[in-house]
Amino acid sequence: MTKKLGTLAALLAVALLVPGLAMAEEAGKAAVSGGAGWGHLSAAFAIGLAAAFGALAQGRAAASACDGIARNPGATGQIRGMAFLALVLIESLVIYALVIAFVIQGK
Amino acid sequence: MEHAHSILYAPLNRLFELLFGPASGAPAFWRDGVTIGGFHVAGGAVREEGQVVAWLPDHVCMALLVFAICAVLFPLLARSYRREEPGTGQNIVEVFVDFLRGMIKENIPHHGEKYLPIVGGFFFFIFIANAFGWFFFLQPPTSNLNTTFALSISCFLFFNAAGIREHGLAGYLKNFLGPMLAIAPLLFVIEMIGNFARALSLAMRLFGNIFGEHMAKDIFSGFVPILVPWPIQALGLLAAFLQAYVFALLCSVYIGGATAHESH
Repeated sequence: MTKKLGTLAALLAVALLVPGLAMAEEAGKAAVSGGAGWGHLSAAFAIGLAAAFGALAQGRAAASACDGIARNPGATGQIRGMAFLALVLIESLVIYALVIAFVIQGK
Repeated sequence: MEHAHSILYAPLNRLFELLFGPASGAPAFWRDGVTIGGFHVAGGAVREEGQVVAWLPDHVCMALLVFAICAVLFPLLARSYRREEPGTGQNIVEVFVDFLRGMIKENIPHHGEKYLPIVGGFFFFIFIANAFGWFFFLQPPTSNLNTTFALSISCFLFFNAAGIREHGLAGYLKNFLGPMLAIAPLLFVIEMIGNFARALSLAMRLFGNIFGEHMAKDIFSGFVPILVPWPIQALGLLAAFLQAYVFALLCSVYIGGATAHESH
């Protein structure tokens, strides 16, 4: 058991460690494009705004879910499923903003 | 949007060049993609500075690998099915299949069982595809917009076809009309747009999550290669399963919505 755990831990360490070293020189080569820089500024603004409001909305959803479970522990399964779906749908709006931010960041 | 190439990119392209000749000699539809009425619908071959350089782009190689893994793994697991003493693989897959079955039963109330194969197919494909992001020598195919759009368009076509098969074409379109006849034209347009938005949102959600994780990991690895990317990768582990689950969940919700019968 310990031997298997040790092997697993070693494999995990290698798998997580190597990409860092491999990527380090890749990222160094990626150049930052010149230009007016407005693309970068607006991308940062877009994603910042989206993340802020997304976090607020998810906080409300999570709080309601916790309230519901506290009030009625028997319905935990259904409330958890509903809360999960709600969180993912809210998060997907933030993801759309992230994608747009990537698109305008390069221009 | 620069990715390192996976280890399959070079060998598979070399194999194709052995079989079919150099990539610049590819037939026109492969080189330039498909253009329907001015819209460049399907992409062309891999280009660097305008020159065709390879037969298969990286995400296609990775998607083929996912397909190969699924095509080999699941028949093997199915063949080793033992009812009395389940093996390890069988136990793991049974957990997932039970989970999916519960989800389908919840979202598609009647005769939902027949949709288990397609929802399970999406789930396992996307899960294994996202899992490629955990390995440094592979790239997740879902971190490319093409793969996620392919998946979401397949799902879109499927749930619409399922709805049409249940209700007939006229009956299915009647769902879009809404409760009152007076506002039916306006509501039809809005509902149609919402329908197409479902396909779009499935693709964007999956792409944004996986590509964002990948990009964040790359950026953090650029700063501090050793310790700092680990939380991002842990988040990536979670996101891989989560996004597959969400895709399958939404797929089953849409199928349930399309095939719902009012009378029950």
